[in-house]
Amino acid sequence: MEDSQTWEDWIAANGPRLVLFARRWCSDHAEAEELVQEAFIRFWRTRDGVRDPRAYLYQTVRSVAVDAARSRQARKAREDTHAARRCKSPQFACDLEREERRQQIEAALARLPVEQTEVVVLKIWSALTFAQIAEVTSTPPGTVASRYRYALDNLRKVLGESEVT
Amino acid sequence: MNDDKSESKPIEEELRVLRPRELSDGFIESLHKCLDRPVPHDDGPQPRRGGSFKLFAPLAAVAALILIAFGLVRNWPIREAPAPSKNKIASPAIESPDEQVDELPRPTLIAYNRAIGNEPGSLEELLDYHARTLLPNVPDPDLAYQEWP
Repeated sequence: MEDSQTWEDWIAANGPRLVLFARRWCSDHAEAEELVQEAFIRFWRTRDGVRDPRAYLYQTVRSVAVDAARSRQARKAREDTHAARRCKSPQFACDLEREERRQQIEAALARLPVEQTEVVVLKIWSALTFAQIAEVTSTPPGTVASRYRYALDNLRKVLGESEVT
Repeated sequence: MNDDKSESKPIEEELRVLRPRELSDGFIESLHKCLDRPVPHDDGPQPRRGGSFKLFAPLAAVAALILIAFGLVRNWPIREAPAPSKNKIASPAIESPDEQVDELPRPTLIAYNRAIGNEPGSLEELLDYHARTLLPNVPDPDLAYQEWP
């Protein structure tokens, strides 16, 4: 993304992916959108001079979402478990014939550790490189690659290779 | 570590088929409300806070100068409150009774007392003197004793 692009261009290119990424720490779609709004405003006003604005944008969303999740846990406002909340509302849009498969995939993602799911989401749906993911998560690139590999192995086991087309 | 998508595994391909949910209608509107305000990093056409201050500051300075000049003109020349005089107000010198009598025989009680204490004709002489000097229209008392021709 060029720096000359408007914020509408940024949202059009990254908005749904940012919300999907924020869902790692949010209960539903609307809550994730609120976090992304807050994070994007912060990003837009502080992005000057950033080496990799796209990675910085995801890093900001992650920071805001993690802080919000910690606040929720401190307040103990919700009684359901973290994994159950992640499956509360659909994270993906798909055709009706894939609806059953979508539910299986979302359930499989919810069973993964959050360190692995965030890497999968950033790699698959946000198309970030391992280096960018490492910057977003403040993790060494080698660790990011390992987490991605473990995540795919776990998903394969849960979903079953026979189901994959 | 390999970012090459050409080596995608079947599980990756299936995951990529899924699309993240679209944003809600209110998402963009909420961002419009926040981001379309004038902010330091916003290069939009809206006037910035700094710009309005730059416009207001000279006007305020001119208004202040006009008020100051108006006040100076109204109060010109500046009337200063009279400073307390450093010189002591000279109190009237109290003269001793002897000094007063030695001077002009003014019609004072001391002068009359002094005249009474002196020679017998002193009081009468003093009264005649006062009558001539202070009451010029009074005829000379010596004329009253003169016989009519």
